[in-house]
Amino acid sequence: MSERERHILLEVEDLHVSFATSRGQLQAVQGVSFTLAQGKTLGIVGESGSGKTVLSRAVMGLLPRASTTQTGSVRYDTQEILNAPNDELRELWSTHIAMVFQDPMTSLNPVQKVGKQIVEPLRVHLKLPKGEAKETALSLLMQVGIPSPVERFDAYPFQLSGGMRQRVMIAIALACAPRLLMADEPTTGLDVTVQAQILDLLSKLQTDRDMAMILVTHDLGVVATRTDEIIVMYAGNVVERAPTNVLFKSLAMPYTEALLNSMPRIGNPSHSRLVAIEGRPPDLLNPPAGCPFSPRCPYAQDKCHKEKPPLVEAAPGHSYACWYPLTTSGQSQPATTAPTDTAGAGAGVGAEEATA
Amino acid sequence: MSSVSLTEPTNEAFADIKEELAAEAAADVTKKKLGVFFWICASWIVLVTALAITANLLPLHDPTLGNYNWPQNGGPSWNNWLGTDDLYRDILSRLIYGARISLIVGFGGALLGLVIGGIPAMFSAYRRGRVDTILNTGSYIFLAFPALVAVIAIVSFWKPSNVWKITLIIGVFGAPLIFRIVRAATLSYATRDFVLAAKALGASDSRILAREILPNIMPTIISFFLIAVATIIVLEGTLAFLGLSVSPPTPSWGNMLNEGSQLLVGAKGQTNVWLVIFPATAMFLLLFSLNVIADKLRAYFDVTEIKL
Repeated sequence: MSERERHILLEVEDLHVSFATSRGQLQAVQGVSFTLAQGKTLGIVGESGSGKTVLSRAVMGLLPRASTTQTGSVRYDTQEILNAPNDELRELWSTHIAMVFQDPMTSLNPVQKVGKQIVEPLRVHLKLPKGEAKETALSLLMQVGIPSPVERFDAYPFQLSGGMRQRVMIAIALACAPRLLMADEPTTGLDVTVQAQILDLLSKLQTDRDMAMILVTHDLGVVATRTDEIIVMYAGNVVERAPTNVLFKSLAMPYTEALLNSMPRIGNPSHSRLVAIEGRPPDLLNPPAGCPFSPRCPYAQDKCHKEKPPLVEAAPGHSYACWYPLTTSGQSQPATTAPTDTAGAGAGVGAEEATA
Repeated sequence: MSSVSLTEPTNEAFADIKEELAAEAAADVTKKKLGVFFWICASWIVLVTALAITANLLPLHDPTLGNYNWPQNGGPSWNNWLGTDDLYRDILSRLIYGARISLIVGFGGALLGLVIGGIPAMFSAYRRGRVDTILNTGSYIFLAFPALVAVIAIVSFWKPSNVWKITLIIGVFGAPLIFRIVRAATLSYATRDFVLAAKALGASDSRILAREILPNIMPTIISFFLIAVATIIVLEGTLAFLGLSVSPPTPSWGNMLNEGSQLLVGAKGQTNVWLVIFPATAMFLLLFSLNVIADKLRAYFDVTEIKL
């Protein structure tokens, strides 16, 4: 693997984020570390409330300062950006780091024409003159695959479909040619066929621009074929981290397995029930003493309930936090199969049973 | 896509909220279904405004100087269309010049309130924190104080009163209410995703407020602004009625009503109905029009809101 040789764009070290609530400190992210090289894609996977959105916003510096405590280190291109003042971040936002938000229905200003919303960052950050900004905006609309961009330029968001809006969001995020794109569940609000289109579009643009990307999702199908490395989060902790191909070949953490098993498969007989993970994520105000997943883990033993497993690197690049891993890295595990492709897999359409 | 045409004029209408707005919006909007009624009300406001502005150029009698050749407290005649008052002055000319005072105090006061109440409100609601708490509590305390009493107290001590002083005082006392309205409207947008998205694109706070939030709260601001204008015109009338507004002989609708009401029953036992009926009608129509316009505009802008 050659990613070690590439220029390291983003380095996150022991990031902790906690929110002050009326019932105490809520530990949303507990010691996350990762690095991301230029042009590479990192997938962050976890269920709702696992801290993945908080993590991505903390990296962006978008969390409200007053009510959160953020410790650790986030370095973009060797520059420390965690807790950096907004003025400093504003220099990076859009031109270096940009974000595509989860819900295209609410992420566009409802009373401004979409063209104007794309032109805005171009005018502000790149100081483009009006005509040039408009030309760039039109070419961006074209790049994200919007038909008749000249007409869409003057449309209001409510005149566009969800997929179109997400395309517009991507065009806005890419307007100033960022080197790092954070995509926070970019396809969650969209239907399945559009999901695949949007993800393909993101990968294509990423390759064209040699841009690094963090793809945050709850859907292992989404990240399976589009990422170089995957972080699996549970209750604010990284529970498994591995290069994508290694993860699906030899996953070690029972939670990752549970996530994979809960995805629908096309080979299953009709009307078979989806496998759900029993129980619910732990209360982050009062995290359990042992492994956070232990109450729901089918393999849990006494030690799991008492002691929290550390994140250990078992094989180069593959780390997990588990006392009793399913496999040791490097062996293949026939019981678990990697989803072959796409958004479709997670959403229940088009997943194909990989031959074990 | 059926609603394409409906949103077209939105941005133009946002362009400014000065008094032309009513006319402009009316012009843009009549093609859609805002109705003739809106048009009529807007025309009345435009007419009053235009007359007030061009009063000097119109062939009017002197509003402050009577002519003893005219009848005293006379009814409408060819020479004095709306009659004359106790001091042989032409009522039409006093009415038109008086509109200046009402309009300046009304629009000026509301605008001033909007500037000193609305702008801090947007920053306060967007940034929150301690400043917001202080300003918010301050506005509550200010509102708990009976504004009319306070205004009367200040006006009676700060003599001689002229139109600018009245505007200033009313504007300052209107600010806390506007602060609350604008703050509440801003709060409901401050945490929306598109605001966060704009922030993530590196937009500064003032840019976010001006470009992302302001256009969204504009419908609220416009309708409240017009209601505020109407309320302030009444307030000026009240002050004038108490003899606390602009000093005579400068005419204002309020002090015309004040003087007229005292002379309603003349020396010979006749009823001088002309002294009050015209200023009262003019004021009623203006307030009515402002309210209608505010209501219609709000409904008009709401259409796009519902569609979203």
